[in-house]
Amino acid sequence: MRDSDFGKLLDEVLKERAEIEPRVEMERRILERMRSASREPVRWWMPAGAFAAMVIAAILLMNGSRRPEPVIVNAPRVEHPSRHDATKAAGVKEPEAHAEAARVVRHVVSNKTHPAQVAEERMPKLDTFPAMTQKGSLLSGWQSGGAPTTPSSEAAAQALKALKAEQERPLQMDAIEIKPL
Amino acid sequence: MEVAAEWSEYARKGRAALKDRDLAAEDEFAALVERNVRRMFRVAYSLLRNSHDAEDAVQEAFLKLHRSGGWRRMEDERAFLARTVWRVALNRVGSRETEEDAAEMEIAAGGESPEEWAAGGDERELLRQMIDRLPEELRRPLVLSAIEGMTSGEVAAVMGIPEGTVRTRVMRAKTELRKRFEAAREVRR
Repeated sequence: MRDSDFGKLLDEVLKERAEIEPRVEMERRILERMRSASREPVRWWMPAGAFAAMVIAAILLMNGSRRPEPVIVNAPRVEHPSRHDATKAAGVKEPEAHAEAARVVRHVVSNKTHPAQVAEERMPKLDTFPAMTQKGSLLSGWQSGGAPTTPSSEAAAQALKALKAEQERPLQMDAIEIKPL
Repeated sequence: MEVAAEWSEYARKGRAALKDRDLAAEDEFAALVERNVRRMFRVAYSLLRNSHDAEDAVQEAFLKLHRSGGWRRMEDERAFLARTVWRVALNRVGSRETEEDAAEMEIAAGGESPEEWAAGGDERELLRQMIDRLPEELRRPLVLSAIEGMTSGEVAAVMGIPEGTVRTRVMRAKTELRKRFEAAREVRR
């Protein structure tokens, strides 16, 4: 078969298929359907329902995404243990401003993710630079090799003596015992 | 009393005007349906290959246009309506389309022998079967371009592909059909 013959045959077959006719009175059926559709009552509840569903979904989402507020529990104020004890042992009274600065207020922050998170507050700013305590001046004198410069307090002198004796005492180590298995 | 009577007269005139306008719009829409229903049916049929499905697609397309009022804003009536009904028909094909494509590709790749095709009947029938067995990407532009008045540009607009692609696919479809047709005739001899 020649190309032109095949082309002609193909065109005929395609035309035959392309000229297919719809069933009779299709236009009438379409227009009747239009009229019946336009007579249908407006379903007002459909958009209203969709809007309500959107609002509910938005509320649920907002509640779900909000993180719980951390509950801050204020613990009673606790003075710094090391500094307080050392001062007590030496019998030296610290200046009031310095003692205030040594206090630390601890907040226990309760959170789901970090249940035992503890935050320390910053030290309060002092108006005047704290003066050296009596114990401090004693220690600085001993460090420089000399005798205590201002042994005004008997307790301070005794504490210094005890410290020196402790340093000069030879180390005593217990014998290593290895217990049988 | 006079004011009330005047007001009711205005209202009556307004209602009458609205009714007239609705009737005029309905007439206009009926004329639009009359002008385009055949062509739209053919476009839908080229995709769905079933008269009932094609008619349903045309009805759905007109219903959508009527509800949205989009038919009032058409610039190119023929192209717009063809595109609309094509999309509706495509939706109807839906997920079934991919399965059909796979099956047709299988057949095109040699699922059925040329002897079986050739034994089916006369040359026209054989060619019809071969067109149906073409892959969809070749068959659709071929059958659409055969619809009266459909240029390659319109086919491209309907299918949403470039015009050059339409021409290439139509050429490829014809070449493929010619090859298969010759092979079937050889077997028949």
